[in-house]
Amino acid sequence: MHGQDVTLNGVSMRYPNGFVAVEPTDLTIRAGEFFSILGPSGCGKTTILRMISGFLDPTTGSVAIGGRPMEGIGPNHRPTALIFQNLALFPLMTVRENVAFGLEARGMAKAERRRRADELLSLVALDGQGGKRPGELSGGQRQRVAVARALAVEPAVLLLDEPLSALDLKLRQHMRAELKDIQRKTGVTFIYITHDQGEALTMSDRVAVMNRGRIEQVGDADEIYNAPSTAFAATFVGEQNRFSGTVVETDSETALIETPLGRLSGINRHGLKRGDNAHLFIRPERMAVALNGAAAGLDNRVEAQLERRDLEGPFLNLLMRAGGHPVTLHVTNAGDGPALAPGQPVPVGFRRKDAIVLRAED
Amino acid sequence: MDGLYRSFGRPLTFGLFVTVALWLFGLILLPQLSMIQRAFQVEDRGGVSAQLSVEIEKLYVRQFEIDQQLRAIEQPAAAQPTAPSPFAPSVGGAPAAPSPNDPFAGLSAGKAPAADPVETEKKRQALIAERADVVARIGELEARESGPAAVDLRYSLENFTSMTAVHFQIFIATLFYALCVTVLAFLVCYPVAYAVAMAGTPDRAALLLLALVIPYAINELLRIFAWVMILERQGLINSVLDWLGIIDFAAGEGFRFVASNGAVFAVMVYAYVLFMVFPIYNTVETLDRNQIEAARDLGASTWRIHTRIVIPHAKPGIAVGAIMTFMLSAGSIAVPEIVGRGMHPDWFSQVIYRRFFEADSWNEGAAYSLSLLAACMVFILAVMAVFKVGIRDIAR
Repeated sequence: MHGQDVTLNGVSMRYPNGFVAVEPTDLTIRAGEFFSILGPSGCGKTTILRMISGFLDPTTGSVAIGGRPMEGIGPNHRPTALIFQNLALFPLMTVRENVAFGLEARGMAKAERRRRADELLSLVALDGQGGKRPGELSGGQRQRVAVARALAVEPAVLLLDEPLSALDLKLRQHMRAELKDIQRKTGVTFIYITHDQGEALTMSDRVAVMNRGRIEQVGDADEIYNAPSTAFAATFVGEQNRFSGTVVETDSETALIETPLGRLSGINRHGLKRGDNAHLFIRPERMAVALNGAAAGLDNRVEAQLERRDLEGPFLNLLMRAGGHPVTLHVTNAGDGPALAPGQPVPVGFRRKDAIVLRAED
Repeated sequence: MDGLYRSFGRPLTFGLFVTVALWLFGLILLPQLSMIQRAFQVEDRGGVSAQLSVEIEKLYVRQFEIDQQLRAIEQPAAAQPTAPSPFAPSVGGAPAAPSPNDPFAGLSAGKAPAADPVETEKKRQALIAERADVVARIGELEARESGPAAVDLRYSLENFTSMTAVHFQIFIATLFYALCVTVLAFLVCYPVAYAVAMAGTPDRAALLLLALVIPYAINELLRIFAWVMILERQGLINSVLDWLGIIDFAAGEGFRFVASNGAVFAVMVYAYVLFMVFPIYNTVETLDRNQIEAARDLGASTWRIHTRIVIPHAKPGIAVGAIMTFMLSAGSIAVPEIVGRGMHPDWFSQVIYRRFFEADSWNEGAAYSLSLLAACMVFILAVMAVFKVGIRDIAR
């Protein structure tokens, strides 16, 4: 088994009722990569997956897998295997028959496919469960049966459509590690669809952030989290404090924007110019309370008022308001911070290099 | 019970129970029991009661003849148009009894007596005396016929064992025909049910189902006759063939589609399509479409998707459809009677009908019906065993 690359060339999908699910998109997924497509429901990520698997034909553009154009090739003849959101295991067959189904369809002899199925079941740590029905297994086990069933046909690309969404949190975290492990062992290209940023960031080699039929950013987890390139990508992944305003001054790296709370500055990576409408994003954990001399090094200052203080063990959530605008801070619970009470005015601040100035889209 | 009482109140609960009891006993148990009883009862047809009824019949005919002759004597003019029954046997050798070979005999007999009034009066007296005798005898025989002694009934398996070889062959053939109809109906209905179940939108599915149901608003007999119109020698199919120049009506060509088992099968499949479509539709509809896509994605051909995924899932529906279609077609009488015209191999339902209403042997008819019922039960159990479907799956 080895992975192949997937290339989308200007692929778009427009439904007969006029709804555009996917705008023309170019995307290259490298061979053997764990690639996630992250986006809210209805953003078109499942449509992309279905176009790669062959269940949908793109309205424009073309899909190539391993350099081979896929036009006119049905889902049963593509080197892909799809894992459905609800897994779609065959309830009337045993686990082993489920796993062997793809081999059966390829005309493999019974003894041989039984041996292969048992091999795959042990790969996903389900030895000895082959005789059971899917209904007798737990959620995590069913999940692994679905993976084994898809891997049985030795796909070059495995497509996963939010397969973990039905599991509880603990199991989900466990399965993340297992999927990643299986991907590493098999070397198959994984394309993973999810709306869960935690899943996308922890498992993937690269992530595509998608919104309204358009891919907004492609990058590894660090880039996606630390250097979002659009306002949507900035807000969809993780938490953000947002300050809106107009660019009044720029230099080679930073921009200064005029907001109702005063002038604030941040990194200007996308070449905004004077007069542009912009948002400034700053992560809650990158903000600090500017009291008792802690203000040093904070280029930006905002006067806020504490509304609530939630202790979440390792860190504190400080929910504030600045000029009617909500501001959230995550502060490390060092035990020696200033005592803060709700209703108290608190100056907060952040460093210029932690803030990002992006174009306001609307 | 308590739940019913609480949710419906006393009168409604009472009504419900009465209805269910009536339904169970009056409409199911009692008729069945009486049928079963009849089936195991033998009525001795060659015995006393049969002779009695023949005797009584003859006497009534004689009484009618005497009345005719008397009227002819009393009102010679009015008697003229009355022709004596040709069935009348010449009992007692009455001189005026007309010969069945000569329809005008009564006429001449009516005119003759005017010549001799004394002779006529004597004859009249003789007839009156004979009539009184006949009436008395009828009364006596009828009393015997309705008395218990004359009904020669006993319990035995004779009604079953006396089935002739021909009837038994028809019985076996009918089961085979019904099986053919069932298989044909499945072949026709499965794709339809699948297409409707997979129809993209609920609107389209509703439309397709409506198109299936509308023909069923038409009386079954009309539907059968419509098929006769299509299959008839001068019917639609032959007309189209004639129009296409494949056959020539003028030269007397044309296929005889009706009066063949093929035609009977076709009409029956049409008549019972819905009983097959709906159960299959209901089960296929519950199939998760992702399973079909998953199977396709794993490389399965369309054939394999159906044999491995869809049909196993639809098994309870197929079993229900097969059972209903089989029962209905094995018991159908209208279709073989109207489409078959007696020129095709008989169906057992027709034999049963004739036992009841032509041979006038309800006991044998009941025994034949019971045999058919038993065969159908065996079929149901066999289907359930083959499909590994339990009552609970069917109830779903």
